[in-house]
Formats: sequence, structure tokens, C-alpha cells
Amino acid sequence: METVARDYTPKGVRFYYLYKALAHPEYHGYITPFTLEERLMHAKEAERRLGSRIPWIVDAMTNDLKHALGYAPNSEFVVDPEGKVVRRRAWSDPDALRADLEELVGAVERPTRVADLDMPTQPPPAPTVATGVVPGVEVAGHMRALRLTPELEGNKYPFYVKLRAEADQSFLAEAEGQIYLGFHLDPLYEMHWNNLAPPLELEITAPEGVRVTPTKLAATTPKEEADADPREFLVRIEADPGQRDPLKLSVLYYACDNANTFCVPVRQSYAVHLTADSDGGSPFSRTAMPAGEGVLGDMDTNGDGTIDRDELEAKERELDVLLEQAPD
Amino acid sequence: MLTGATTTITVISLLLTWGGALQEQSELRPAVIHPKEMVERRFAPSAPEVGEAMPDLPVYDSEGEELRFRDLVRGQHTVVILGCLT
Repeated sequence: METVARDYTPKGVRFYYLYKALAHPEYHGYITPFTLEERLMHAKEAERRLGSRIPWIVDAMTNDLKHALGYAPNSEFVVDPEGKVVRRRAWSDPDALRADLEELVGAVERPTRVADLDMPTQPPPAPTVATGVVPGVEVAGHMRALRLTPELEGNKYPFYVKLRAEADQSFLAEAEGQIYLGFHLDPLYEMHWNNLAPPLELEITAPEGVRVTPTKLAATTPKEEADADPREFLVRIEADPGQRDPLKLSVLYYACDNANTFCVPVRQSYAVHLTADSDGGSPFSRTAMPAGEGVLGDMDTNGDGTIDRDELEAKERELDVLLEQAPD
Repeated sequence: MLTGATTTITVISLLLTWGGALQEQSELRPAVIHPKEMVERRFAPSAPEVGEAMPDLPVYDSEGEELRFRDLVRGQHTVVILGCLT
């Protein structure tokens, strides 16, 4: 894409990346932002990582543009000077885009090659403390993100740790099943878990007609003094027919910055709505998937019929290699 | 780079999502459905058609200033690519 922009910006074509909701929360540690300010920080981080000259613009937190532009995670549009769509595709394709622009504004004499670019790409932030020391929960089958509302008003501190809530298909279809509640350090704030402090505590209040077990939870404390692993829980949930009032969650944790300048207790609250969030994206890890056939079967390297966390992480590493080699 | 990354990751995710759906609905298991097609099926009826104006919705520049998307894409040929960090 960058080569196309380098060639066609001088010919009067404007380029924008439109930053939208995360497609795969938790990949490289990035998690869903709660505020526009945090989404703007994500866009700056994307700019830093890609080293692209194409400017980023940012969708509203209600994801209205993503919806109005067809919900696709990586679509592209060419708009004429009157503001009307002249090309659209569900998946961005730099070669096809170049052909479009050749037709619309003319060919360039010597197209820029990837080798001509000097893009200062940067790696994602690396954890400065231990990881992989707190066993994660593993869930059977596909889970979907639940819509959640963090209580932003009246908070002295940002949400250094952010909740990710998901429900299994059994709950979404039959109102009885499991809910995943994961508390993830937000890399935007460069924090860690200080395991010399008390562990994260969670209290769940269910509305009438909804039963949750258990309602009081505490995270396990690893041997390491500090780590960056998420604190994850699975709870059983059962709801009476038609009951969709939200759960109320109150979490208490110690927020400790990586520079060791502060470590403070933080209490924050959420409403977790018992409906799927179509903008919630889907993490790569956590779910042991049925392998089936085709590409999914190929990922099932140990042939046990499911794709487990190790196999997903192997695929992530393979993707990282592919991305490093991606021509554009 | 962004395009390759986002597309590749999204395809894998859709494959996984589809895998979960297959388990839930094994009696409906189709022989082959390409996950990209699932995105395209939703995109086709809901994205602005060729010849239509872009939506008149708010968008923010990198400093957080609110702009109107429709105004932003007027006046010269403009390419808009959707993406994110993951």
C-alpha cells in the first residue's frame, strides 16, 4: 500500500488509513480501548509500528463508520473529487488499487518498489516482566465477546487493566453456560502486576433472574514478584428466559507502573451486558477449536482433533514471519 | 504491510470462527465456504455502492479533532483503507 501512496500522492491522490475496532484483541498484547483518547493512542501506535507516511484517521467509539462502510476489517474505497465512491472492495488489494489509480489518474513512469521504501517499522512493545507464569483458562468451543460498559465517570485513574468478557454458545443460545472474564494489562500504560501486593479481586452482582457461580473471585499469585499475564476466570451463568439485564462487576487491583514510580490500589466497575458485541473481535488464543478439515485441519499439528493454545500460538508465529516477508 | 497483516490475520480468525460454528451446526456442514466470502457477503449490501456518496459521519484526526468524513474525502481522489493494530 505504501508504494501506491508514494506514487500517487504526488499525482494529487489523498490516502487515509481509517482506524477501527480491533479485529483480534490480545494479539501482541493490544486490547480493546475504552475511550476515544485510547483509540487515538492505538492509531499513533499503528503509525509507529508501520512507519507509514499515510495519515491515520479514527472511527468514533460507536464504530459508526465501520458499520456504514460494510463491517469488513480491511476494506478499501476510492472516492472521486465529488465525494462519490468509484471503487470499493471488501479486502484491500494494493495491486488492484494501483490498477484503479492508473485508470483514474494515469500510470506512473517508474512505480515504487517495496525495496525502494525505507519504512522505519517497529516491533510491538515487549513485556519487561515475566509472562506465561499464570495458567490461562482454556474454554471449549467458540466464545463471543459480550458488550460491556466500563464506568468511566468518577475514576481517578485510567483503566490500566481492562476487562474482556465473552460468553459461550450455550449461554448465548440457551441462557445457560459459561462466561469468560479476563483482566488484561493495557500496554498503552506500561504497567505490571506486582505480586507482592494483594491479588486482583472480583465481585459479580447478578440481576434478578440471573444466577452466577461463583460471585467472588481472587486471582492466583504466581511465584514471580512481577508478571504481565492476564487474570482470567470462568464462571457458570444461567438466566431466566428473556432476562438480559447486565451483570455488575467490581474489581480491585494494584496498578504498578514499569518505571516503579507508583503502585496504587484501584477499584473500577463495569456493566457486562448479556448480549454479543459484534465489534468485539476475536482473540487468537484461549479457545480450543474443533479442527475439522482444510486449513483448520492443517493447524491441528498434533492430530487430536482440536486446535489448542500451543497450535494457535504456532500459527501466530508463522503469521509473524509471513508479515515480516509481506511485500506490501 | 498493514494490508497483508490485517488481511492474513483476519482470514485466520474467520477460519477459527467458522470452525466453531461448524461444531455447533454439524448437520449444516458445507463442503467448502471460503471465509473471505463471508466478509464479502456482509460487505456487498451494506457498504456504499459505486456512485454513492460516502457517509456523513464524524471521524477524528490523529490529534482528536472531530471532522466530517464526507468532507474529508471531497475535492480530490481519495483512498480510504480500514485497518487496526491487530
